[in-house]
Amino acid sequence: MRRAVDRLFWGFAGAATALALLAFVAIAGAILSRAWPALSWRFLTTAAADGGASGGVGWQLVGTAVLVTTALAVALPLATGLALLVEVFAGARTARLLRLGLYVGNGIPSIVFGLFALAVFSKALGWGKSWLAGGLVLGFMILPTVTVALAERMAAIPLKYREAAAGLGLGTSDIVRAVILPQSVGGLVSGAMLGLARAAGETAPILFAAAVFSGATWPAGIAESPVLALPYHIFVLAQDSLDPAATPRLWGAAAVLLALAVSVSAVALPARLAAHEEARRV
Amino acid sequence: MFEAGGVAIATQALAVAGPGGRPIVAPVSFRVPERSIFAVIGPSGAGKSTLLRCLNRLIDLTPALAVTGEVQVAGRSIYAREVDVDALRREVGTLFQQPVVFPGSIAANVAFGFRAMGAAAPKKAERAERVRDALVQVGLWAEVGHRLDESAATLSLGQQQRLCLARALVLAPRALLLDEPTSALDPGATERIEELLRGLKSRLALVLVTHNLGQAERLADQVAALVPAPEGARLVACPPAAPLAELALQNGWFA
Amino acid sequence: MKFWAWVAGGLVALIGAALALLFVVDALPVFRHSGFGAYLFGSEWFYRAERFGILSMLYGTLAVAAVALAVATPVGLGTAIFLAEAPLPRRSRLLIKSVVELLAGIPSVVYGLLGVLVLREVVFRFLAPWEPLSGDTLLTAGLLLAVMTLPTFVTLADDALRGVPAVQREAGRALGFSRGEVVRRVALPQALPGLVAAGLLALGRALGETIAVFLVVGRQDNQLPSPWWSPAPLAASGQTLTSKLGGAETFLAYDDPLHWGAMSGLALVLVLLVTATTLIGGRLLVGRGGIRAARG
Repeated sequence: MRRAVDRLFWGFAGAATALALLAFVAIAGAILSRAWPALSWRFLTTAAADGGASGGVGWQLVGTAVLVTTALAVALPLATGLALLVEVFAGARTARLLRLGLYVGNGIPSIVFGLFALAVFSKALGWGKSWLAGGLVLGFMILPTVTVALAERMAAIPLKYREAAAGLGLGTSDIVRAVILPQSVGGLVSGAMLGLARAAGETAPILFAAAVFSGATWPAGIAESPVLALPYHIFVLAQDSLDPAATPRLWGAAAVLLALAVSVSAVALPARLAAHEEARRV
Repeated sequence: MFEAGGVAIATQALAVAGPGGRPIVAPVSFRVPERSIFAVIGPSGAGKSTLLRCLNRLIDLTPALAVTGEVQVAGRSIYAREVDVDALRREVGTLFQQPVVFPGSIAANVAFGFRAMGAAAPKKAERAERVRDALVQVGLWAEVGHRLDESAATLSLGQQQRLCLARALVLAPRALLLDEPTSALDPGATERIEELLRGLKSRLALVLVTHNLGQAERLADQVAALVPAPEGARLVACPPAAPLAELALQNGWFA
Repeated sequence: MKFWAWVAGGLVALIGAALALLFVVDALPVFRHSGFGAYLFGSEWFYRAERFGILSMLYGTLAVAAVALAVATPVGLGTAIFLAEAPLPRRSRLLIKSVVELLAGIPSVVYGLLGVLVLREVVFRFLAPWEPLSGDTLLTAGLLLAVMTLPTFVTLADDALRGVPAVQREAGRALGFSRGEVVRRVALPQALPGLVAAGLLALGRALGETIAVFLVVGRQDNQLPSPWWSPAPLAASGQTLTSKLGGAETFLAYDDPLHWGAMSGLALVLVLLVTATTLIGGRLLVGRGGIRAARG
């Protein structure tokens, strides 16, 4: 009886694990197998044409790169400042409040950022659709992720380094420059990777204030200067009314986005796994 | 070397190897008679706990370690294929260095082991009886008998260790393995545990791992030292009534 | 250095405050127009008639999330148990964890596309005996969300189980429990707060997900079950808070303060729902790595 219950229990756990693994294999397989015919170097470098039915995703990649670069340019300095506040400069109460804010901010649904961009940048500031609005709002969105990754690394710096530096007569700011920042570069990189993967794949924040389906190339100016973006491209094509002739290229675009997001997350993977493995070692 | 009735635990060429076949414990053979205390002394890291865990196959939980040789409990080989390991561990109980209480009440902690027995577990009325018995045996009944429903975490460390002892005793074991059972406790609590162990000897076989030489001298009928060596730690029997501290010093066991 | 850190902090606080206040202030017109209660629990949304009741969207959001959790928690719990408690070699464990992490890295629009081109068909065929109008249903969205929330749940549940001290398991084994019994009697009860937190944070993700849901939920307004416990709407198109916000009506609404207020109210309710869920979840994680673990 006991043995039977045990066997059932482990059977359930094993089956669940197999299902989770299968989900990934099935998703990757389904996309790659359908995308295969469409994929080529030319697909990555040429402009889309005929509403996505021919051509490639060249400008979509450019637009996504513009958005992501802007987002990182916004998020990295702010995250560095915030992480330093949380781990070094702020008092215990302020630090707790900041942590809480980061935690809550992390949970804010991405569509809310999209709405925010529409209300503030698009309408109030009169930018219409602008790459800068998209980049800014994506930067805000990934800020908690990047900050937490960086702050975690800072917290992991052994206290003895700080003490040794203080013992040499360095002030707090010197210690930050000489010890804390150099030692936490890894956290900044993995945070940036996580943020990049997320910013590159998100559609909702750029839905209203940044992305268009066609007719944009390099950004020129700020107001009325939209971009194409890979996730938005897929999003529009995935909606019903469109041409079935676009389907193979749609899969191709999805495969490119998937590869982009997954490969960038994979770069951050070792750091992330290590954080979880260590945090939980008892 | 000693006279006894039955033999509770006996090993023959028992050896433990780590990853890649690195020897940890060289082949050792010893016998623990019923109603006696067998103490294993030695420096930290010699493999005392590892050796101890071989005696009820808790060592199985560390798959990296390979056990060879023979261990018999009451004349039956415990590494045989048909052995019910879970029943074996009830028959040969364990007391750890740090008391491990489960979240839950004092009574639930003592009765915890019954839950693993399935249909063989005693009925409710009998359980309460046995929980009481076990608590009386470890001298906790007078202290906690009136508050069995309180959380076990409220007990002092020494009380917790006695609770863990009761938790093992309630399963009516034949032998107990004690892995430095007092090293986390203060002198008063240590004394109480030692007193209990001396009393338990009238019924059980006890294997006591300790680095406290005085404790081994006070309690044990036989003492053996586990001495680290490159080819795996050796077990050296100490002559009865020999002054352990001197012996250890002469032979450089704790060098 | 310190100065610039505080400047960054102030800037972020400002943005955060703007984000929080914007929706409160913008939503005021609709609360004045309908009353807060009628807005939340009104069952009709007809913007041309200036009738703004969001109950059907609340229902859609909760129904979709419920389907997602009903699938994701058992599968996720099984996976977490296997990961944390089975005697796996370290490398296999890391491999499985890596796959789970990569699953989390798939963009939601890709999930949405799979929903549109694959899952929708499957659900349509599955529901055929009940003659559905299309494969765009709350059920479809829920199933898609199940896969999307699975990694969050697995990662946090694995953390929770591994947070149970190893000595507890050893003590259990020493009392004659089998490995599975130790999991059920010792590890799971002690990990319970963490497991509940994992469920809540997965729920938070499910409530807020937009794009994937948008693509397969059908976006049919004013769908409510009758009687209230009827599962029928699950097999039909519906609308969630997020799918409404993601749609064209948001653009349309902007120039009309009342209509925009109604949309802002949706965002406000969404943020409150998600924040409450994640805060309760975070509460349970406090002292167990809290915020660190929260990213999932």
